[in-house]
Amino acid sequence: MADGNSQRVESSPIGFAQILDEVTLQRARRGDANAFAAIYDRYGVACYNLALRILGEPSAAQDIVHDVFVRLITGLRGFRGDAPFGAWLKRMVTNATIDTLRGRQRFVDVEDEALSTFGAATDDAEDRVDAWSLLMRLPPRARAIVVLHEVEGYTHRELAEWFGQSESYSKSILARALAQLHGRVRGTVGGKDDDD
Amino acid sequence: MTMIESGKPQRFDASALPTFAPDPALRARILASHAKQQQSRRVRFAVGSGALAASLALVAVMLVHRGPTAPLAETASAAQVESRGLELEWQRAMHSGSAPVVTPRLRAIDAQLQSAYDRGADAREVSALWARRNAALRQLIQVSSEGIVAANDSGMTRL
Repeated sequence: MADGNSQRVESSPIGFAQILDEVTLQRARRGDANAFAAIYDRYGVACYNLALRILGEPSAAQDIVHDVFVRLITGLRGFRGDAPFGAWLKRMVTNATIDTLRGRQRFVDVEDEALSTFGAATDDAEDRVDAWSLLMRLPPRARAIVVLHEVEGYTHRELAEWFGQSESYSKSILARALAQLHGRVRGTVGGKDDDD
Repeated sequence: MTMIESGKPQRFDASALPTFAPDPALRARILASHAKQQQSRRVRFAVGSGALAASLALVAVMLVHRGPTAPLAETASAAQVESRGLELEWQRAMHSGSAPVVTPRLRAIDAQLQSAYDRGADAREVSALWARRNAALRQLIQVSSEGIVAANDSGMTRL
């Protein structure tokens, strides 16, 4: 990472999909510090990367993870086990991250302009970027939609609820963002709707 | 990870996004927050439990000391008020502007009442004595209204 605070690690293919055993969960519910630490050790990296990919700022992502785990101390009692623990935790991180995005002024009403200028200044040297750099060049909301849909597997219906918009809006933003990322669109804002 | 193979972006591959480890200090920060919350939870629990225990103890003490006796105490108090009213009524019946006269029977009941109060007798006993006193006063009022006391007041003394 550019800030030097985060180290790149071997990608964990399962992340939030890891299973949390019932014993650890019950111990954590009772306030057992070791069990709580075990939960962090298992899901902390996934939580951090989800927030980081959307926010693009390590310190903000760490704040999100901290806040979510602090809320988890009491929130664990509310976990009924209807969904896997990882999915439940992922939703908590997503909610917190989107709340943070909402609090940022630049998140509002600048998507079209930002998307239209995406990649405009690129040259061959700048084209030598990786997926991370490309993602970070998207405006925040488009980045969030790409990450939540393409990486985390949320549907457009869920995205629409989170962002208070229609499914069409989510599909449109995603299509345009992916077009930019794929290098098929340069300096235009047109796009087609993608399916879930 | 790299998107470029020939100087131009190919396709964005979300699965190629790198995974970063958070600052190790974050773990310590989170666990410290956990420990702090657990400690404050324990303190809240202890304070809450203490307050609950104290409240229960207070209620228990009140029930033991006041529960069964409260109605009787109220009865005794009401009888005492009634007794004062009967005294005044008797005084009027005697047509006397001075202090009311007291019969030996009333004096005996008053002595018993005084004794009961002195030794902290329960409300049931006190209430019974007040009832006896009121009964005696009613009898005196009735007799007085029939002109009998005037003829036979040798056993009476003024209060």
